[in-house]
Order: sequence, then C-alpha cells, then structure tokens
Amino acid sequence: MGRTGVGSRDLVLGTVCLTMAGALVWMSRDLKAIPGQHYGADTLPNVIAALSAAVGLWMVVSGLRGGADASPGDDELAAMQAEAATLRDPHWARKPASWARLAAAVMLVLAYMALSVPFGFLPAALVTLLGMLLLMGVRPFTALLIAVPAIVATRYAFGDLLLVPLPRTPFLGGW
Amino acid sequence: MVLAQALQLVLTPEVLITMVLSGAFGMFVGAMPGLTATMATALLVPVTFFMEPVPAIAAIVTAAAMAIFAGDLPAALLRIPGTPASAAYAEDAWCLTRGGQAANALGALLVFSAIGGTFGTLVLILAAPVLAEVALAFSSFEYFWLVVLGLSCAIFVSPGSVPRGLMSLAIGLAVASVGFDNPAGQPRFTFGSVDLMGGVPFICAMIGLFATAEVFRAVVAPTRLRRAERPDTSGLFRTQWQNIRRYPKQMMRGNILGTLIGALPGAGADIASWISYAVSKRFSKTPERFGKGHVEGLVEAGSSNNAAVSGAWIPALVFGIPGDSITAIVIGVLYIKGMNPGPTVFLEQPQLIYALFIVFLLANLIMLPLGWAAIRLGARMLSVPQNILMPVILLSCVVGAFAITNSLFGVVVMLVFGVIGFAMEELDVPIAPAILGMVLGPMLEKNFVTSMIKADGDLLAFFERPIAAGLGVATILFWLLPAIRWALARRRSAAAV
Repeated sequence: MGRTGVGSRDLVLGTVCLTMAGALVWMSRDLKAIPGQHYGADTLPNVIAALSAAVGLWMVVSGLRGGADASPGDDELAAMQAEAATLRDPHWARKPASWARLAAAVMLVLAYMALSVPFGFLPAALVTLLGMLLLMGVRPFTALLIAVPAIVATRYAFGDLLLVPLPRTPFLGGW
Repeated sequence: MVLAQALQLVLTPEVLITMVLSGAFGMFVGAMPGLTATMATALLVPVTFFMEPVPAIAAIVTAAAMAIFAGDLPAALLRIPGTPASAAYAEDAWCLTRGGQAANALGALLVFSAIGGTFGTLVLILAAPVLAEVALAFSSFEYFWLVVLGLSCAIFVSPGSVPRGLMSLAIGLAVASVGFDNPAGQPRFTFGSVDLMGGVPFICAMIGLFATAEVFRAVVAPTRLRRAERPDTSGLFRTQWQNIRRYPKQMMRGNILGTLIGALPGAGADIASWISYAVSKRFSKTPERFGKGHVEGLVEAGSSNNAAVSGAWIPALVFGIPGDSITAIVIGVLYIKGMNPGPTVFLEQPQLIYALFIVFLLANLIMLPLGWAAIRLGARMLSVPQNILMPVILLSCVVGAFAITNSLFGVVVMLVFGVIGFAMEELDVPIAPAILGMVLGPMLEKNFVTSMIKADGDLLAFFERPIAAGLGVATILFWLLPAIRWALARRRSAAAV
C-alpha cells in the first residue's frame, strides 16, 4: 500500500472518529452525574468522545500529510497479512459485483430473520444456506444436496441436543 | 483435597469426550486458511453455553490450543499459514516439506507446540496463586491502573498504526457503555430498546466480529487455494528427540518469551511467534538458512506461539484482564457461568481453578495424538472447499447468536458486528483493541467512579497508595515511550548529520 492510499484511508477514518466523538457528546447531553458527585453515567462517554476526537484529528492531519505518521512497519505488515490471507483478490473493492455479493449475503441473513418467525427455522435456514451456497458459486443441485442435511443436522444439534428454542415450523409438526 | 476434587471434576467422560471433540473442531478450523483460533472459540461458545463450567472451559481451551497448532498444517503443505500465528515460519516449513522433510517439519511443529503450551501452563500454575495473593490487596485504585495499563498494552504492543488501534479501542469502549449497567444506573444509548437495556450481548458481537466478518470477506473475494500435496509424514516423532537435544536453548527461549508476551494484554500468539522467530534468527549460528527451510526457527517460534496461548490465561484468571481475544471471550463465558475471574476465585472456588489447570495440561497432551491424526489427514482436510464451508459457517453464526439470547436480537447484533468487523478488517483497523475495550470498559468505569467516590473527586488519590502509584507511573511512562523513542531517534539522526 502506498503513502497516498494510507493517507486517504486515514482521512476517512479520522472523519469517522470525529463524527463518533460528536455523536457521543450529543447523545450524552441528558446523562447526569451521581447525586452529590462529579462523575456518573456521562463520564465514560465523554472520555471516549475526547479520545475519539483526539484520534480523529491525529488521523486527519496524518491523512492530509499523505499518511506520513503511519508506523514504518505498516507496509511490511500489510504484505504479511496479504500473504496470510491467502490468494484473495486485493482489488475487490473496485468491482461492483463484489459489493453486490456482499449486499446479497447481508440480505440473506435479513431474510432468515424475516422468514424464521412466520415459517420456522427449517424453511428460513434453507433459504439462507441455499442462497449462500449459490452465491459462492456452488451448483444448484449440489447446493441442495448440501443444504438439506446441513440444516437438519443443525436443527437436531441445537434444537434437540442443546435445547435451543429455535422457531418451529408449523407445517412440519412444529419441528 | 482440593486437587482430588479438581481431578473429580475433570476426569469424567463428559469432560474428556468434550475435549476430544472440541480439539478435533479446533484442528479443523485452525487448518483452514483464513479461519483463526479466535473464530473457533467464538463459534464454540454458543455450544458451551449449555454446559457446566468445567467442560465449557475445557472445550474452549482445547479448541484454541489445537487451532494454533493446526495453523501450521497449511503453512507446511501449502505455504499458506492457517492462522496468523503460523505466518512467521510458513516459508521454512514449506521449504522443508518440498525438500522431503515434511515429517521433520510437522513433527517439530507438533512436539514443540505441545512443549510450549505445557511450559506456559506450568508457569500459570506456579505464578497465578502467588499473583492472586498479591491481587487480594488491590483496591479500585490499583484495578483502575491495571485496566488502563492493559488497554495501553493492547494499543502500543499490537502491530499496526497506533491511531487505528486507538480508534478500535474507542469503538469497543463505546459499545461497552450501552445499557443500564453503569454507576449511575441510568439507561445509556439504549434508544428506547428493551433489548439494549442489558447492554450489547458480548458473545453475539464476538461471533459477528470474528466469524461473520470472515464469511463476508470470503463472499467479496473468495480464497483460491492450491491443491495440497500428500507428503510422506511417517515417523513424525522419530526426529524430534534429536531436535530437542540440538536446540534446547531455542526451545526454552521460545517457551519463556512466548509465555511473557502472552501474559501482556493485547499481545497474543501472533506477536509471540514473530518476535521469537526474529530472536531465533538473531542468535542463530546459521542465520542465512532461515527462510530457506531451517528447523531452528520452527522450534523456537512454534514453542512460543503455544506458550503465549497459555500465558494469556495468567492476567485473565488472576485479574480478570484478558491477555488476548480468546481469553476475552472466555472471560465473558466465565461470568455467564458464575465464575467471576479475579483473585477471589482462588479462595472461593479453588477446586475449579485447579480443574482448569488440569484441563490446560490435558489440552496440551491431547494435542499430540490429535495433531498426529490431523497431520496424517492433512492434505485431505485442506481439500474441503471454502465455497461450501463459508455458507455453513454463516448458518452456525445465525443459530449460535440466536442461542445466546433466545431471540432474533442476537442475530441482529451478530449481523451488525459482522459488517463492522468486515469494515475494520478491510480498512486495516485492528479488532483486538475493540474486544479489550468491550470487556474492560465496564471495569474501567466502575473502578474509576468508585475510586472517585472514595476520594471525594480528588484525582491525586490514584497516586497515594504505593502499588497504585507504581502502576500509574508505569502506565504514564508506557504512554511516553513512543515520544521518548522518537526524540532519541531524532537526536541520533541529527548527530549523524
């Protein structure tokens, strides 16, 4: 990663920190100290806000200077992590398809939440797992062959062995 | 008497079977490139939630120890470290495998991992009760400084840039401040949600940060693995006696350094492994052979990373201050199980503490047969396709998060933290300081406000008790260290000009 990359990233992260600091101060305005004391529920949020603001300013300044404050080992560390992260495409963020896949994965979890209460665990989990397998490029028939036993095993392990009250499926006798 | 009770707690079929199964699970997760020991722990927690304290902790300890060793398997067979803790010596392990010495490399990694883990556990057994007696004299002032020192270590000792570490810490502390559980008892950042009154469920957040985030990373940029070769791994243990006799100093140095680094909050097995590898090369008679398939670095760094896993339990059990992300998760589990970590647990539940010590030792011994089996299966285990594994992991995350809260609220938290963890990883913001912030935030606030009530708001009270003053001065010096180093470097470069 070059200096400019580090710089623009620091600028973005610094802005996030400053926003977080502002939000914390604003949200803690109604919190009060313990009666008769100087400190209370507002103490920790204000300390975090101060820390966040200081870090935000540090990163913004560093970002404007092109990431000059990045520690010297950063490049080696990034290279090391890239190696450790195996053969991942480092430029995925430039591809709209990658973002669409991420959005789809999030949507599949949301679909589980929406479907599990009215239809129960099995159909909701089937939709999510099948969708994820297809998203990861598994062929439809293979995906079905994997998804069905996987959700039945999960249902048995958590629902019957560990007694987790997973949402019941009305049309399968409540299983 | 206490030891007999502890043995009774551990030597039951339930605990032993749990250890073997969780060990196999840890082996599998650790061997998968991209899946870490912390992820193995986070995925295991929902299952341990339904167990008694001893088997629950036994499961986590065994899985974590196995996962750290198992990360060495793809390092040696594919040149891809399974966990970051194996990255330091992946090149050497791979070169040895290619040179027909797979049995020597993998055998060394297995045996010295077990030795390192056992050494760290013995230090824990000897040091923890002594430290606990000292800690009994601690008041809120000392605990406040300990927490601040722990958080500072997490920032300054971890690799990567300091401001990003501080940003991560601020995120963790902000998450910890949600809920009713604060000194004033006021609902804080709950936005009217009843679910948030009890705070953000820590385990669901962990599952999101470590497991869901990794699934998202695989979704946006799938990992392409080479096919692992099937090297000859017969006679794994035969050459290790020679290695012990040839490199006793390296083994001990790795053990000691790993345990010490592990005991520092924020510095876990990854850092221990890199530092030990560097130290090994620095003092080696044949440094030119490092990186080209030399077993010396494997002995030292392989011992060190497992010793660090054991060392991290020292501050976790004695002070309730986690040494790394894994112990942070376990501290959460211990609280759920009513076994609040800290010095008093050594007085009130000594049989449980000794049971944990026995579990730690057993976990490192079980590593030898399980590791042997994993090495024999190695190439076959690594051929499990990531595109099947990741969707199954996502389903486990969803069900696991649901199991913690028995409601969809847990799944919402998991998803939110999955997205946050994904963004942090991609933006090179370390996650460990956020975890420590989440665990230590309430402790920081409670000890600060309690101290201020005792001292009537006088901040100098933090320096009035000798141990508190010592810890306070040490913490402030620790903060000033980067500035001092910077000033010295400037002076040196000015002198050179």
